[in-house]
Amino acid sequence: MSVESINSALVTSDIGLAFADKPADTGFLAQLQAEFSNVNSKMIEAEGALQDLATGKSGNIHHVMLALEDAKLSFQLLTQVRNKLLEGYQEVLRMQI
Amino acid sequence: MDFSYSAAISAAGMDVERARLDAAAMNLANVHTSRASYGGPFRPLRVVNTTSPMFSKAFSSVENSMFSVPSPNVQQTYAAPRLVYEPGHPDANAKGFVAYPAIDSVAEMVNVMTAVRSYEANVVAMNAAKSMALKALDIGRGS
Repeated sequence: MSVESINSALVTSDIGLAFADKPADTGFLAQLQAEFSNVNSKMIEAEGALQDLATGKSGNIHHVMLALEDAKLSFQLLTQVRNKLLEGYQEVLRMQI
Repeated sequence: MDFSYSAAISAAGMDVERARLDAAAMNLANVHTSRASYGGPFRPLRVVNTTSPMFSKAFSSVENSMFSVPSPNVQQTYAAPRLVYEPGHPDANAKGFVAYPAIDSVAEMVNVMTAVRSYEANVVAMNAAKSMALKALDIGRGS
């Protein structure tokens, strides 16, 4: 029994998420990556604010707390997006053929 | 994310209240300062708030023109000093009166309390914005 490679099926089929005529940097993946780097920079910023507070460079507690909350919320949003993405993938996996 | 906008509003409010608390604490600390570095008795501090515009994508341009966050401005007041009869004090004038800053300790305590309460109000507003954003993340969960 011959097993067909998954790769060939993936390349030829289009599930509608990506359009061939669109430039690559406006795709969903690129947006996701931009969001990733956005959350990452927010976390770095929060960490820097925390370090400034700990080393006595700034005494503004509420700005540090706000930066931390902002980073936490953006991360939770990203986690939710990832959960939704995974849900969709699992839905496709469950599909009977 | 829109939460950062709400947080920035509350942060501006918290900045103002911190400045008010610092000014009141400075006044209380200098209640008996008869000789400031700039000469004469210490000049009481007051926080005067100005507003600066803030723009959000959630509102139209007309609405945005009404939105402005406060920014604190600490200023000296030039109220007439409190004269206390203390002959022999190094800063006493020819008639034996010493000029102390016109600071009302009770009023400053009230300033401290209102600053703390207003700060709390800003924290509550920010927490409400945060729980709103968290609730938005709950959309579609638990199906």
